[in-house]
Amino acid sequence: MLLSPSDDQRAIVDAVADMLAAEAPFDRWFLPQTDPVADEARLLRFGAAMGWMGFTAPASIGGAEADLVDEVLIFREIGARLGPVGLVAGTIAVHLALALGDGKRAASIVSGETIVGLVVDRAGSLVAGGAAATLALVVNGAELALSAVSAHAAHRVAMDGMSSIAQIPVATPDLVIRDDVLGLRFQLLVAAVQQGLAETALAESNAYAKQREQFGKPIGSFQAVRHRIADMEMRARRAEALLYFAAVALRDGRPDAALQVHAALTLAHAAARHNAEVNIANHGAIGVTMENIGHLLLKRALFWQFATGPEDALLDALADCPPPQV
Amino acid sequence: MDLEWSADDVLFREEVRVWLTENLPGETRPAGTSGADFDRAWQKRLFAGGWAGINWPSEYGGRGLDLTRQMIWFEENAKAGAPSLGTLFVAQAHAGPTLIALGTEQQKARHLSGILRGDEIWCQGFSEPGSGSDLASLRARGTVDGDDIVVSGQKIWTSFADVADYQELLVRTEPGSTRHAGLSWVICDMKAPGITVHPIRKMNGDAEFCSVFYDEVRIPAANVVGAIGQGWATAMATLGFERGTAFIGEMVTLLLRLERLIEYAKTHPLAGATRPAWRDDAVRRRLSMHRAEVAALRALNYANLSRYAHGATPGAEGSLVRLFTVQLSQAIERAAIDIMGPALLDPEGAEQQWMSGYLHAIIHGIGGGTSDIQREIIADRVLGLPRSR
Repeated sequence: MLLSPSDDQRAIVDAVADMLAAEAPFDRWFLPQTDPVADEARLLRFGAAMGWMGFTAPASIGGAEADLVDEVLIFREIGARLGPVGLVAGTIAVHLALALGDGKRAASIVSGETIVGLVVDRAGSLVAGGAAATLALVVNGAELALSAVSAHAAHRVAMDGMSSIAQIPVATPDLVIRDDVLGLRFQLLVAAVQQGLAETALAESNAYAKQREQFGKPIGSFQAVRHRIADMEMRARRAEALLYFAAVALRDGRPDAALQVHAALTLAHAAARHNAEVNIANHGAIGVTMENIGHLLLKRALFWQFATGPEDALLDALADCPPPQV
Repeated sequence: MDLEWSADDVLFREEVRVWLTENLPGETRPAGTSGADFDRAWQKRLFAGGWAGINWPSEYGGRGLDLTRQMIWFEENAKAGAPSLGTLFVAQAHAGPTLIALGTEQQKARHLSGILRGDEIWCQGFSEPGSGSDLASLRARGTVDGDDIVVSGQKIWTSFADVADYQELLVRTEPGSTRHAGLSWVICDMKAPGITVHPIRKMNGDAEFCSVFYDEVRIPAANVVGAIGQGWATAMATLGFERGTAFIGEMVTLLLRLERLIEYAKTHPLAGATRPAWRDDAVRRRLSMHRAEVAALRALNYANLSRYAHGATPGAEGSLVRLFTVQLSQAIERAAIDIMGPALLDPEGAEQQWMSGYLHAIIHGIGGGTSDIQREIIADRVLGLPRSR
């Protein structure tokens, strides 16, 4: 039994974090010339070049044949750097295409040649995360579909301030699957990016509380502030442990996999959103400006929460799971 | 990462399961201090079965299990509903391990075997009326007089002092010393002249709390554990033994308790309603959120323990697990009494055990360091924030 990253896994994670820090520094968001739509396209190309959408895919289509748990660790880092939504959509689309025997399409997504957006509304026409997308992924529980989309629509910047989004007529899906495991895999990847986001909010607050002084002392010495940050740490640690448990459960086909994944996404959403809100409060006035990443963390946390369906549906799915076995 | 147990560990789990099934006492443990005889009898049975001191080294008569097996032991005990250590908690979990780590050969020979056999009940004399969260401010005085230390002062919140044979007693032995310096950890015989014990009843009716008064109590200086004046280091070593597997049993108990509550909600209506409470969206989703949180508590325990089993040293993250355990147990018990509502008003009703569970969870948020103190420890030692005190 081991439910914590090994030294090898830590080395992979650190390497990915370093690359992302260089490619996607937070302070680019404070520059007026940063164009979110172009920036998203650039990072999608970078992610494809790194092979992140094919991390667990077979080598025959350009994949790295890595473990699902390693993929979760990488997407946690992508989430921590507010990486593009399209990386999650693309990764799931690869496995959808593979499951339906369309290796050619899977390979083209892995290589970055084909970009996949994510349908984020129930009407099925609001596509996020890929201005250049020619495919759109729809996830509705265990039902997943890939549709062709026209790339001509006028793109706007989404509610999160970082993603592209457009109303696009989505064609009748050409690849449709009902696959419990793939639906859970989508939830797990979203939980991973939300986990990363919760960690960034925590790290931002922890650093600021040590540096910012009021009343002649660092604000991190005041109990009202430090207890809030201790609670952020708690939300991050409990969601992290559960994320790993869920990843192993899904990878190994444990009977409690659905319960663990639903639970992991529930607590990752809660950690991301709550930590993002509290992080803004911890920063005071600078926290409510565009000169701080607090608002981006909050908006992205909300983006993922709303894009993956209402919390009530997730809780009802948890209610329907058989009791966990000890 | 993996969640697999080795084949040997699976066999061990089966061995524990079978032994517990064959040996569990038929009756439930009487509450509070009145459970002392029950606790002694259960400990003797554990000893006879070779299960005494599961985390004690075998050279001291313990079972010497590694962390993974301790965890399996606690999980299976919780699943079987086996008795807690009760009045023997301090002896088994604090005093014994402290003597093993820092006691003299004479002290070990005098006490360890009796503790393992359930013959010695110990209590903990740390807190004082003016020294709760701020333990280092304690004032009970120990004056060195020849071969004795003469103790005067008061301790409070001392569980089971009225049935204890011995006490781990923390006193200030250097006159004029302050804070952590000048304290000594001594073995106090509770039958020594000059000791008066007053029971204090907790809000759930249990009378296990006590206040202990010391009027010139003579304790042999040979009873100091660790060096004289170094009692703080000894006390910290004592508290350190609580870490590691300390929360596993509670986690399993909480998981099973929530599932029992869900079963209750599936078979009982809310007050004034006819359909089962589980059909109420707010109730069902509230309990489902707790299901997610219990899964996280389990994962967090496994994550920490597997790191310790691979060589990491238990540290301040234990405070985080403790805080989460307390918060979650309070949330689940609160949900239970909210669902049961007026059914709790009948003091003879079957639901009363949930009322006592709720009160117990509130009490649990204070002992062993309040939730605010746990947050302070997390802020200091996990987050490295500047100190508040």
